Amino acid sequence: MSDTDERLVSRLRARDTQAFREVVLRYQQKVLNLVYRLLGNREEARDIAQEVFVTVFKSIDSFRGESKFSTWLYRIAANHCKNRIKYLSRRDFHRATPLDDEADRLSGESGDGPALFLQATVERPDKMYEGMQIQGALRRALGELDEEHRTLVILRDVENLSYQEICEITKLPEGTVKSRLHRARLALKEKIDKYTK
Amino acid sequence: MSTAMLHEEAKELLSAYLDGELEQERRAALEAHLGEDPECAGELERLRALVGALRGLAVERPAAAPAPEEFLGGVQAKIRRRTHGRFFSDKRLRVPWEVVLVVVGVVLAGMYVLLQPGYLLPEHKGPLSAVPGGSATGGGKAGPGGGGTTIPAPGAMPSPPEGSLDRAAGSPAAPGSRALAPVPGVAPASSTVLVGPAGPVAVHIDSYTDRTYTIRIDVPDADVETTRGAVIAQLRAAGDTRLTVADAAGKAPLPFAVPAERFKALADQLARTYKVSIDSTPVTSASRPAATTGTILVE
Repeated sequence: MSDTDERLVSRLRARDTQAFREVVLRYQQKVLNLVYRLLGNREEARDIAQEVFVTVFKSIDSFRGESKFSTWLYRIAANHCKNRIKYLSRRDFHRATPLDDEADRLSGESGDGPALFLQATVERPDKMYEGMQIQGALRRALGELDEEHRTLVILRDVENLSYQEICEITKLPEGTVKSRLHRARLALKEKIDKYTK
Repeated sequence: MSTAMLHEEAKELLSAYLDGELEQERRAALEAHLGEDPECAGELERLRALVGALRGLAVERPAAAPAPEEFLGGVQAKIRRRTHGRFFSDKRLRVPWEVVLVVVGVVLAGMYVLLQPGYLLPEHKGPLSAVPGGSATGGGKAGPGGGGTTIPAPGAMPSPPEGSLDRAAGSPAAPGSRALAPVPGVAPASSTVLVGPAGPVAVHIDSYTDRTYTIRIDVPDADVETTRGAVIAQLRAAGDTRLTVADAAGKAPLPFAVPAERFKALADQLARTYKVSIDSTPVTSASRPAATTGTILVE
């Protein structure tokens, strides 16, 4: 935890509302991105991201500082998303449409350009993942993964968190994270292959 | 380890290898296998491309945040609702509880000061002036009557004769112990509210001068006799033989003389009778000489 986060946490414990404001402003974009990637719906993501910070405010006393504050924050976000996905699945909520819209927007129609994506510079057969057409397929495939696989892939490959951090967020043993992440990547690759063929 | 086994095992290790999470020995074994197994090598490259593509998503801002203040405002509104306004309330309306406490304290202190004898409450010195020097005198007849209900003006109250207590008190078993329970939470320093058989009873040090103190017991009409009897019985039990009772025709004052050294004991006795604390601080205040006489007014 950085010194600044430590100070913020200390002030948060004293119910310093200004410190809470700083925490929200500092982390809102990261939390929103993570939650949106896990949920695939902007409105849901905004609501859940706000719930994450409400939980932070309410539960700051339970944060013991054994992990980074950001890791704790991500754990809260992941748990909120997990619960939300369960809730929405019971209500037959479909996440695909917003993602499709987003994929279409990002696939070039919006003019954002391809430079935003696909940083990998690989030789054949890697080029199968190169090009704008794959990005929409990638997001769609992510959306089709089960919640646990999607969480692991996003935490590791998109958020670039370490295995240790993922273990702290998911409360899974490291060996389990390794094996399940591998399964998740294989499942994702299989789905992308389906879309790109 | 056979080649086939190594192939299956190698496939399981590709992700960890990509992430740099393999210990040196296994990494070396896997790299040796990859050199010999094009299928595994191809799988590794496909995974590497996939991970690269996913890393590319990291530079997106897929959930473009609302204006920071708007998002923050939403969070604060949720907390405000769930804490019933304890946090993040509208500052224009919010009054810190510390301020509320200070204001309440100031108001209570002001009320206490204003209710002291000599401010808003009148001092009843007249009856006491007729009871000089610790020995009550006067000619009123004892016992409750059925007439006047006002406190006599200064000098108008005849001093009761010595020995009239017996007539006024009636039986020593006057019901001082009848249920006079304190009303919780209402006990100003020199005024105490009790609940007598017929309703609230207020016992307070009504006024004081340099030489005398007046204790007034305000009771409902229906409770006058009970209270009068109880007080007198208690005073007698306290051994104050100089206590005298005026003929007050009903709600008249009952002057009595009590030496200064006895006043505190009397206050304590009353307190025990009514199961309350009577603040006798003014009696012993260094700024005021101790009382030598007192008056009980039964209104």
